[in-house]
Amino acid sequence: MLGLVEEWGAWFYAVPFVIFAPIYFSFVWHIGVKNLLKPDLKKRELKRLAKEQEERIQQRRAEKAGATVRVEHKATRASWYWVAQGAVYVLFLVVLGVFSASPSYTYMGAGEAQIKLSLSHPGQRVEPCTERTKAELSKLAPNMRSKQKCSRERHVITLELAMDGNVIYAGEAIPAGLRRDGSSSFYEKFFVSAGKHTFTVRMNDGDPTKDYTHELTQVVEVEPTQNMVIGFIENDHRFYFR
Amino acid sequence: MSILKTIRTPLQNMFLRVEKGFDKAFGPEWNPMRQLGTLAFYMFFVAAITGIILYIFFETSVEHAYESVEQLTHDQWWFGGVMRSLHRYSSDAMVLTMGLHLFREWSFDRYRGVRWYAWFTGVPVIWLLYVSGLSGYWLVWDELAQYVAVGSMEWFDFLGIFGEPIANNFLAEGSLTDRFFTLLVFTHIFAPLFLLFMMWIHVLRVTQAKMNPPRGLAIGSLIALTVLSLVYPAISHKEANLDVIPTDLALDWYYMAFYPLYDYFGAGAMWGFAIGGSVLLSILPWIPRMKEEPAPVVTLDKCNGCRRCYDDCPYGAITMMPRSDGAPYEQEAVVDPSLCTRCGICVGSCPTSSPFRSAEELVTGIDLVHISLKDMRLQIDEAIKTSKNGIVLIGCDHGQNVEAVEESSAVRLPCVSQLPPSFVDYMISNGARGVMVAGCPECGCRFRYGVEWMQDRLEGRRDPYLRKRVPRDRLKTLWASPLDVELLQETVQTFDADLNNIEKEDS
Amino acid sequence: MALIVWDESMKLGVASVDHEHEELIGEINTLGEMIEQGTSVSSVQGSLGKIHAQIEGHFALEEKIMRERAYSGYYAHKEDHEDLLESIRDIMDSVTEDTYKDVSGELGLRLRAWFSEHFRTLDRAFHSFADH
Repeated sequence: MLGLVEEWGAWFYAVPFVIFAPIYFSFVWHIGVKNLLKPDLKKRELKRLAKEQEERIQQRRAEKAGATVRVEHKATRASWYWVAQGAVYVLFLVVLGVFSASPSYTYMGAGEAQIKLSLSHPGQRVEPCTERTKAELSKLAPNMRSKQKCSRERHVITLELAMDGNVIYAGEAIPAGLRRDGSSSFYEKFFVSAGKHTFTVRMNDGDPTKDYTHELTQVVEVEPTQNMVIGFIENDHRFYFR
Repeated sequence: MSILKTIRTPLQNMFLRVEKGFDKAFGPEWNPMRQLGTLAFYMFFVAAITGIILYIFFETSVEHAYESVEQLTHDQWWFGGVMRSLHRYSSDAMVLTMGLHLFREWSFDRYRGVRWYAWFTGVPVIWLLYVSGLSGYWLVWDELAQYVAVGSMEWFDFLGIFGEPIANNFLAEGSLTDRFFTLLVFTHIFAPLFLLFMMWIHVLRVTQAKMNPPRGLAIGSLIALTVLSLVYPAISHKEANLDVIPTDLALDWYYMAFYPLYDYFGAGAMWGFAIGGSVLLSILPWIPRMKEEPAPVVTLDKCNGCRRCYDDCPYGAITMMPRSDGAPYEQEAVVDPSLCTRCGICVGSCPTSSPFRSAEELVTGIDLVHISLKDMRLQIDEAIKTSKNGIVLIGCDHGQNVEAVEESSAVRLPCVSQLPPSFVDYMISNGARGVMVAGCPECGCRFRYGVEWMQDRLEGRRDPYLRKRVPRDRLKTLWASPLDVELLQETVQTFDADLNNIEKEDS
Repeated sequence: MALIVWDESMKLGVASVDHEHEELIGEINTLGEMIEQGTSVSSVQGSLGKIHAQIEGHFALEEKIMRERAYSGYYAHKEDHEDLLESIRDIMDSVTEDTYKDVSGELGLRLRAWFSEHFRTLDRAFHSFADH
C-alpha cells in the first residue's frame, strides 16, 4: 500500500474521491436533499408574488389619494456622484492605511540597551520557626502534625542596583498576599547606553543584623538593543546576569 | 447648559456640512455619515470572518506562530495575505467608524435623557474592541507584538493582583511558554465574542435597530478594503526575540496610541487615565442631566386602542395594554416615559387629532404636554394670520431654519411628523394659501422615521391619510439640510409663483 | 325626532365597534336636535368637528380589527371609509356663516344618509364574516 501511495502521490486519495463522490452525493440528493431545496424555491416565488401584489395595491391607493405631493429636492445624487464616492473611499483608505503603520515610533535608540531587574523572592519569616513539642503535636489532628511551627508573615525585601558606582535603583517590596506571606516581587526597567558597565546588585531579604544578605558585582559588556536580565536563582540563592 | 451648546453647535454644523456633501455623492440611503454604527458592525463581521479563515492557517505555538503568519502573508499573498490585510484594515476601520459614531452622537446630543442606555453600554464596547484588537497583534509574535505584549503585561502588573508579575512570562528568550501563548490566543478568540455580545446589548433598547449597512456601502467598503489590502498589504516586523529590545516600530495608531503614552507617563498614570476616562465617559449622560419635557399623555376616553401610535412610535415607547377603565375596548395605549423622546409622532398618527372642534373639545387620544393639540392649533391660526404671502411653513426643532423666510410664517414642532394631516386640511380650508412642510433631510430625521411617515401620510400610504379633497398643488414638502437656507428661500419663492399661477387660472 | 334610531339589530357582535356606533348615532341625533332648535353656526360646526374626530377614531378601530382578523373585504371597506371621510369634510365645509341658512334644512338628512348606507351594506358584511 505504501508503495502505491509513493507512486501515485496525491492521486491515491483523489481518484477514489472522484469516483465515489458523485455516487454518494446523488444518493443523498435523492433521499431527501432535493425536497429540502424545492419548497424553498416555491416559498421564494410566493413571497415575490405577494410583494408584487402589495406594491400594486399601494400604487392604486396612492393614485386614488390624488397626485403625489411634490417632493422638492429629493436629494438626488449629483451626476458626478461616482467620482465623489470614489474620492471619499480613497480618503477613507488613505486615513486607514497611513495610520495603521505610521508614523513610526522609536521605543529605544539604536545605541541603547535595556536592563530588566526582575526577581521574585520570599523574604524570611518575621518570627523564626519553632519546634513543636510532643504534647502540642498530639493535640493537633493527625493530618496537621508538622514538626515546625512557622509564622506566616514575611519580611519586606530591600533591593539596590548600582551601575558604574551610581545607584540606579533602591527600593523595597512587600510580600504578596493579604497576610503578607507570599513572595516579594521586583520588576524594573532601565535604558542604558551600550558598552562595558560594572553592575552591583544587593538585597536584604529580612536579616536586620546585616546590611545585605545577597550581593553580586560583575562587569558586563552590554550589546546595543540587548535585553539584559538581572534575576535571582532560588535554588542557588544567588543573583545572575544574563 | 449653554457652554456645551456652544461647543456642540459648530460640531453639528461640521457634521451637517459633510452629510450634505455625502447626500449628493452617495444619496440619502447610502450616506456613510448616518451609517457609522452599522458600518462598525459590518467591519466586525469582516474581521470575524477573515479571522476564522486566518485561524485555519495559523500555528498556535510560540515557535511557529511567526512563521505561519509569514507564510500566509508572502507565499499565499493572493489569498491568505489578502485575508490578513483585510483583517487588519477592517479592525482599524471599526475603531475609526466607532470613534466617529460616538463623536457624532455626542455632538448631536443623542446620549442624554432616555438615550443614556446606548451611550453607557457603549463604554464596555470600546474596552472590548481594544482588548480584541491588541490581543490579535500579540499573536503575530513579531517585534511589534513583543512591544505591545510586554507593555500590556507590565501595565496589568501595576494592579498587583498577581502573585508574581505576569511580565515575567516575557522576561527573556525562552520565558514565553506555549501554554501562556495559548492564553493569548484564547483572549483573541473570546474577547471578540464578548465584544459581539456587548454590541448586542448596546442596541438592545432601540426598536428595529439597524445593524446592517445598506448594500451599496457594504459592497463599496469591502471592495475598498480589498483594494487597500492588495496595494498596501499588512506585513510583520522582524521575528520577536525577548533578548533584543525593538528600536523603531511601525505602530498601528488605531489601537496602540496609548503605548507611547504609557512609556512616557508610566503605568499608574495610564490606569488613572483609563479608569478615570471610562468613568467620565460613562457618566456623561448625567453631567448635566437633560431637561426633559413631560411625557405624552393618553386620554382614555378618546383612545379606542386603534394602535396607530403604537405602530408609528420610532422608539417603541408605546405599548398596547388591556383596558383599565372599563370601556368596551380591548386595548389602550400606554406610554413608557423612559423610552419616549417626546418627538410627537404619536400625536400625528392619532385619528382623533383633528382640529375641527371647539377649543374645549380639542382633546386627542395621545398628546404632548409642552406642545398640545390646542397649542398647535393656536400657533397655526396665528401663523395663517401673520403670513405675508399666505404660506405657512411647518418646521422642526432640529431641522430647517423656517423662521428665516420673511414673507411667510412658521410653526416649529419637535418633529414635523407631530402635525396630523388633518391640520393641513384645516389650514388650507381656513385661509392659508399654501402649506410647506420643511423638515430634516431624507433618511436623516432626528427622530428616525419622521420624514418617511410624514411623506407616506401625505401621499396616502400610511394612516392617517391626507384627504384627497385637499388640493395638492397647495402643499409642498421640502426635505433638506438645515444648512441649506438658500434652497428653502428659493423653494418658497417658486411655491409662491406657482400659487399665483393657480389663482390666476381659477379666476 | 331622532335622525337615526338605534336598536339591537344594529349590533354587529364586536363590543367596541357597537359601542362606538351607538355613541356616534347619539352625536348625530344631538346635532339633529340642535339644527331643529336653531342653534348658532359655530355650535353646529363644533358638533360636526366632534363627529368628525369620533368617526376618524372609529374607522381606525374598525380597520385594525379587520386587519387582525384577515378580513378579505378589508381594502374595499377601507376605500369606503376614505370616501366617507371625504364627504363628511365636504359637509363640514359647506356649513359656514353665510351658507348655513341654505344648508341647515338638508343637513340632518345628509348626515343620516351618510351614516346609514355604509352601515347597512359594508358593516353588515363584516358582521357576517366576524360571526364565523
